[in-house]
Amino acid sequence: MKIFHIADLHLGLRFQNHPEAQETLVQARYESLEKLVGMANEKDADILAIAGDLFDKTSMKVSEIQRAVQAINRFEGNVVLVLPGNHDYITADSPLWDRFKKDAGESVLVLGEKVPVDLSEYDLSAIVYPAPCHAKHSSENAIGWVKDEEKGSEKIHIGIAHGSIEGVSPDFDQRYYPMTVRELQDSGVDIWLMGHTHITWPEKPGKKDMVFNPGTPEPDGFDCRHEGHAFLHIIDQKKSIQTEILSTGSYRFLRVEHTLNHQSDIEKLLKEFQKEEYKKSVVKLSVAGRLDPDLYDQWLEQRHQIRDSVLELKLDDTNLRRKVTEEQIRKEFTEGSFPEQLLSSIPEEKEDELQMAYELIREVKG
Amino acid sequence: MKLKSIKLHPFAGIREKEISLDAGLNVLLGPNEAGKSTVFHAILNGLLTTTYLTAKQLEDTMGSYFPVSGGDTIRVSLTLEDENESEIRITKTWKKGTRSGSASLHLPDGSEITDEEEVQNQIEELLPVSPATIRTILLADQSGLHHTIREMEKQNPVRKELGDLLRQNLMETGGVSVDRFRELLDVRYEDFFKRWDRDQDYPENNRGINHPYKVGVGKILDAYYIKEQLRKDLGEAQQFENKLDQLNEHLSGFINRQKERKEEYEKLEPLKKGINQRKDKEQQAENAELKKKSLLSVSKKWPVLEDQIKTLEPKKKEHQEKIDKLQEEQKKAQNKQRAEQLTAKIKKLEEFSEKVKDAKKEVDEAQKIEPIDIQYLRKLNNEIGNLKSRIDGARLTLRIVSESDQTLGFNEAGKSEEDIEVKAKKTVEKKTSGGFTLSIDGVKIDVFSGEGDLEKVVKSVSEKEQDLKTQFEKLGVESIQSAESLAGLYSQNKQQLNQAESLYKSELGEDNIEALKEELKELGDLDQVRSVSEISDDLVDARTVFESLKKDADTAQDQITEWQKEYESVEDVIMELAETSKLLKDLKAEIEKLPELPAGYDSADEFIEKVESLDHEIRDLAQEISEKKIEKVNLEKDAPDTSSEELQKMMEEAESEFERTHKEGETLSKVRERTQSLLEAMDANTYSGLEKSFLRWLQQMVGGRFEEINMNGDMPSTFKTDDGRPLTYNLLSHGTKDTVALAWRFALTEHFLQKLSGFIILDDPMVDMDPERRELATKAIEEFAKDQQVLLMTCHPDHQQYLKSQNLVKL
Repeated sequence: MKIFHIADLHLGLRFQNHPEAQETLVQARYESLEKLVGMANEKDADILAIAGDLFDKTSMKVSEIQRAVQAINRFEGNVVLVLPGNHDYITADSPLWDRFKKDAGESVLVLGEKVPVDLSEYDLSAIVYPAPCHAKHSSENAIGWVKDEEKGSEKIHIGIAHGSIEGVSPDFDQRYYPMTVRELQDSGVDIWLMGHTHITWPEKPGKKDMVFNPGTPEPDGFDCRHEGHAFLHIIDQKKSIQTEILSTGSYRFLRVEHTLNHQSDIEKLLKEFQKEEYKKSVVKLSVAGRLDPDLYDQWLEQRHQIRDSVLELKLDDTNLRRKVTEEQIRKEFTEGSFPEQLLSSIPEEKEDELQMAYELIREVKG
Repeated sequence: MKLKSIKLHPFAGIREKEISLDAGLNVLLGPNEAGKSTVFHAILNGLLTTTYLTAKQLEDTMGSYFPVSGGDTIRVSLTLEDENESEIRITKTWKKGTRSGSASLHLPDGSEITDEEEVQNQIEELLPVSPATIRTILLADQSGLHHTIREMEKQNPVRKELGDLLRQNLMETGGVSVDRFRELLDVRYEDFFKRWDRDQDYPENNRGINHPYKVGVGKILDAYYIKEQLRKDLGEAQQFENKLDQLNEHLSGFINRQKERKEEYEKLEPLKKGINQRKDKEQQAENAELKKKSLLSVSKKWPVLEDQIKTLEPKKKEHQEKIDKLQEEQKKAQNKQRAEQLTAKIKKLEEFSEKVKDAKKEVDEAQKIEPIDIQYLRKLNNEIGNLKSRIDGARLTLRIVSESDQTLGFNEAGKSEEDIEVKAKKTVEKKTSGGFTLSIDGVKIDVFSGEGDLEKVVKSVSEKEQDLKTQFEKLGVESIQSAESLAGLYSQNKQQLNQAESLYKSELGEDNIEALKEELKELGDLDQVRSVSEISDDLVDARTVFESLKKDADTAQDQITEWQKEYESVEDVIMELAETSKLLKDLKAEIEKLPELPAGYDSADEFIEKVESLDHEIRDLAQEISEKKIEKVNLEKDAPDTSSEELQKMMEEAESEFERTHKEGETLSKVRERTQSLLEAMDANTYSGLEKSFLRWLQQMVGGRFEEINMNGDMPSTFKTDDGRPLTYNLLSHGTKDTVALAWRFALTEHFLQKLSGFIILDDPMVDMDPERRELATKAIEEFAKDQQVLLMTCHPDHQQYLKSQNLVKL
């Protein structure tokens, strides 16, 4: 049995703090879903499991829900399992999921209740134990009931849950359906398909693992260090699990830090950003260092090249400074002239001030 | 430090040329474009521009000096002489490409340096002033020379003190205007801090995010508002999410509870009808059971009571007769009492009658003196007494003294006449009462007191005394006292009689003694009769027994009457009992068929109550659910379009952006403060030597024209023109400006070089001067050249003629 396992796509994220990339990033998540379904089909997956937070919020527009459902309906395997997560939680009165179910195909199951779901109807010898979220926050997880269920040995028992896992995801206030690995292991299922934590865990799935959290399939911020992941679990007759990590994301959020002290540093950095991979990246670039005045000018002149080669650049070069030394001042300003006096009066360690005074003087000098 | 020679091989348009220079004045003469500028730039770059350049830097800084005709290399060699007259040789080669050039520096000690950066460092060390000063003062090009004047012109129309002007001019050497800088700082400061209260580190006038400035805010406040708005949005989003969570929790709770209740209800409700029927039947059976019991009891008791009544009747009769007898006896006992009373009364009457008789006899026998008699006696006696008192009151004393013996007739009133014998010389005294008549010798003398009625009184007394005497006789008494005593006795007897009579009357009352005696006689003999109280006791006992018997009989009878009313007869009771037994049996059979009460319920009522309460609860919950759903719809209407997690991220970024902006603003404000304090610290004396030096050179060059320079001490306060107007620099003629500029160059050069030796380049300094001024200027230049090396460039061959001791270089 092949399970294509994803979670935390967060359709409907707004990316308001990325004004340039916003539209691209918003759309990317829908495109990503389409791509994921295609991948699942390519891999001949029997089950497409979405372990929560398919949507970022419950107040999705109808057109957005429909777009998601249309993509999901294209799955060619036996069944799609959609678990409401803490962002797209399900309630008795849930316009999001009502709409979703209305448009969803026959083999798309919204796992909104804590009851076992027998998949024999979908020609699969498996039973699913869902742990759906009914609110954004909960200090109690939803898996407690699973261990008490009678489980025969002939079928595969699949748990699907959404929430924080102790030691894996940060949940200091215990507000996100907190679970422990132990608790999950003791619940008597053969595999746990998890969601919520945006990092991929385990990093390298091994034979003994049975709790799997793929992380988001499409990076959603600088906190996401990976390229977007999905899991493909292959479960054999003996119920042993083989898991493959698939790279799924199109866009990346990269934090890049560089120190620029020489011309070669600038050149290297500019060259680095010529690489194709940056074109689909939102980059937070922090540069630091001390540059000779003309090199600093060169930097000011050339830095736009980086902006042009990435999807969006958040550049912080406040720690990159023009080297303003006494010698430099002597070279540039007549002794006793105002700029010379002002710059000389600023202690060298007050780099911010020195730098700012220098830039202002240059501005006046024109 | 002086320039000894310069070689361009090649540099710009000059393929190869070496120029030797003197220590004093050198004139480089050539028409325009002959290469004066090339030589100037060769010297400047030979000294100040490194050969260690990237291709781009080379292009930017040296690009224009590569020969137009071609070639990728330019070269300048300079020979310098230091204070000790030792030679220093510099050769710089710039070659196209990155860092393709080379440089060498031969020092006086014979050592050579070829590291390009080191060569440049060493050259700058050797120069008497900083590279920037060389560039802006010593080697100022044409435009540099006139900068001084241009800057001065800009002061128009503000007139400044010379000292201020010069000071400002020096400060702005290099092209940085203090005012513009200050202005820029102010603008930037506003950019950052507009509407931001730095002291409070908060928006001005406490206009936080809830009451923000809409326009005209600085970067800091802008960043602050952005961050605070996000914080607010985040708070609202969190509040919304929590509210929604809470609402959902409630809603889910209600829905789940409703579901549970419905399940239970659906399980219990179908039983309700049967249980209800069972309840009714059971109630009926219970009633029938009770009825049966009661009928059974009636059927048993009825005959018993009837027997009881029969037994009681003769006993009752017997006791009734006894009572009758006793009552008769009691009547006789009452007659006996009457007889005794009559006997006593008659006896008493006879006694009283006897007493009356005795009293009557007493009265009859006593002397009958009535009180009226006494009254009359007393009246008479009183009247007599009163009359006698009157007579006594009229007593007269008669004293007769006669000369001779005489006999006098004397008749006292009321008395018989007597004779009074009077002896001569003797006094006879006679006392009389009332009056008297004295008769002497035929003469009768009546003497009386008062009006003389005494005689009547005396007469009346005697009459009354007579009457009294008659009365006494009539009554048979001697005195009033005895009359009174007899009258008392009489009255007493009469009283006793009255008493006896009234006793009798009262005892008799209305009765008649004869009738009484008759009645007594009629009562007959009653000696054998018992007393009333004895009979009463017996009577009470008899009655008590009778009453108790009667009560028992009545109770039994009442009960039977009641039953008769209800059932008519014992037979009817027995029939009804049979019917009831059958009904009971039927009910029990029916109950058997109805559903049993589920476990956990003590009664059908409890069960039905439970079903009904479930139904209620389900309906109440439906109401709650609908209310919560409405609440939710209302809440979701205002749902934020961004999740709190995303807002959290945005807020954190906005916070760090605020911090960054704030920090940048603070840095700016420090630069601004530093600038302000620097400018304040610079007082008039900062450049005093410079001003003196400038004036000296200026006066030398203007001759008499500025005689009117106003001196304040040894310092000029203002320039004045010949006609006394204060002079501003735009009023200076072009030639005058050149003069001022030249004087300022000299002054500045002296100021920077001090005791050191150096060189300046002057580029056609006298072009616009009139001949007179030009002459004065040449003298000044020559004088200046005595101390410092001067390279004067000109395209006017005649200018050269003014200058005497000179090294002429023709280009």
